[in-house]
Amino acid sequence: MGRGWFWRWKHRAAQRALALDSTPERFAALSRDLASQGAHAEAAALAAEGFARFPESPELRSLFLSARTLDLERRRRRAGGVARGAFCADLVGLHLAAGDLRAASAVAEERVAEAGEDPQARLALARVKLARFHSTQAAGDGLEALSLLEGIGEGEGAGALRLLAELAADVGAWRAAHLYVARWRALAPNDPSAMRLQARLAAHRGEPSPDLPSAIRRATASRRAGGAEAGLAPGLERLARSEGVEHAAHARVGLGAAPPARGALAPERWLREIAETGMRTIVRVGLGDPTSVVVGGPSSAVLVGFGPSGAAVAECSGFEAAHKAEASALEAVTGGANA
Amino acid sequence: MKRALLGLRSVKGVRVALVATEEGMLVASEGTGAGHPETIAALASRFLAAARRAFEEAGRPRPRRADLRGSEGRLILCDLEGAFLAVLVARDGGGDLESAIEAARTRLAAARNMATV
Repeated sequence: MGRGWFWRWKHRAAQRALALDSTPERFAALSRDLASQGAHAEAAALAAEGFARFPESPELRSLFLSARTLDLERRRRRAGGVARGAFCADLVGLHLAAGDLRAASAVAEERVAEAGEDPQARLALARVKLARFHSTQAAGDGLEALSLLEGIGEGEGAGALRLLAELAADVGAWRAAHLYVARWRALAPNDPSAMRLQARLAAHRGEPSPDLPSAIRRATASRRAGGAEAGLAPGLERLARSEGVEHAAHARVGLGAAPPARGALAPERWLREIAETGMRTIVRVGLGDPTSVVVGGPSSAVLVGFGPSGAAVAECSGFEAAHKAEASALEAVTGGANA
Repeated sequence: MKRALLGLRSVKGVRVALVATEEGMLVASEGTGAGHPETIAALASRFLAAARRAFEEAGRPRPRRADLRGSEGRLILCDLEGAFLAVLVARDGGGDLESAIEAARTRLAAARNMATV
């Protein structure tokens, strides 16, 4: 590469400093240095490592993007014009990984306008629509992604089937999810992601299942209702402070509801299962709108209070304590309307 | 068993009282109205099985009782070791329900002991 001894010495010193104390600034400085010397692949790798460790750093994010874009552009030039589809798909993936939906959308839309029915272009645009669907909860994006993916034939690989299976499972369209994952597995029998999804879907076999477009619309409405979750925190805190309550959480329950919430307010899986099964049983037995579930014994119990914004779920020290905290659980999800 | 269930039926608002096996097979029932006893037995058994599984998975002791409330009424389930007692109560029900459930549990346990001797 024709790099002189001074550059090599400086580079080694920078690497040592980075190993001793990794900061976003040191990652950025070393990556810039590598890029200025023409070592683009190393610069991209270092920026990627730094961005993975410090995703909040705007400097590392921009370095990661520009280094990777340059790297991709060089590969495209080497491969010639035919590789433009793959280049755009990579670029869309890159922007999505960096969380830049607008840039990803611009590249994907341009490619679809250019290449029309090209499956790779449709797949890239569908990825963008799905990312937007998950981020904004706009049903239109989910439905557009569905239409793009359904137009891609199986001869183009398993990518579209994978996205369709994941989307269907995500919104609770169990029947469609079963069908898509079976077709995905037929194309990629040893894909561990397909196997994992199929195993997860087995738990929902026989459950009522809306068609995929209806499930997308329903899930969107349910997630929007769950958007008020942040406002539930004070109610949950009061519930958690009730006598005999060990901890409290909020669950979005219902068929086709949003995927399990993550974070401080999310309940553990076993608690969510009790909430969901309890809710279904109340409705099917004909007890009207679900109000609450208390289940357990003298030393351990679970309390679930249902409301328009989901369910407040609490683990309690016993059945009696759970009954006593029932009003607080209802208050946490109804703001006192049902309590 | 019949006497235990009739005792529960005499409480205000109790629509159905039944005993079923853990698998959801109806053993005996009193009352009708809000729901068919076979259906209640099957749905209640599914809920109890899911709750037991969840408690076991989380390392918690086996649940002994469940109260499921809706806007129109309440379903109370009591574990009887291999079977369960289910009581469906209307929204306006209540009264001496707790003591009636306790009495029914005692009677059913006694009936069961006699049957296994």
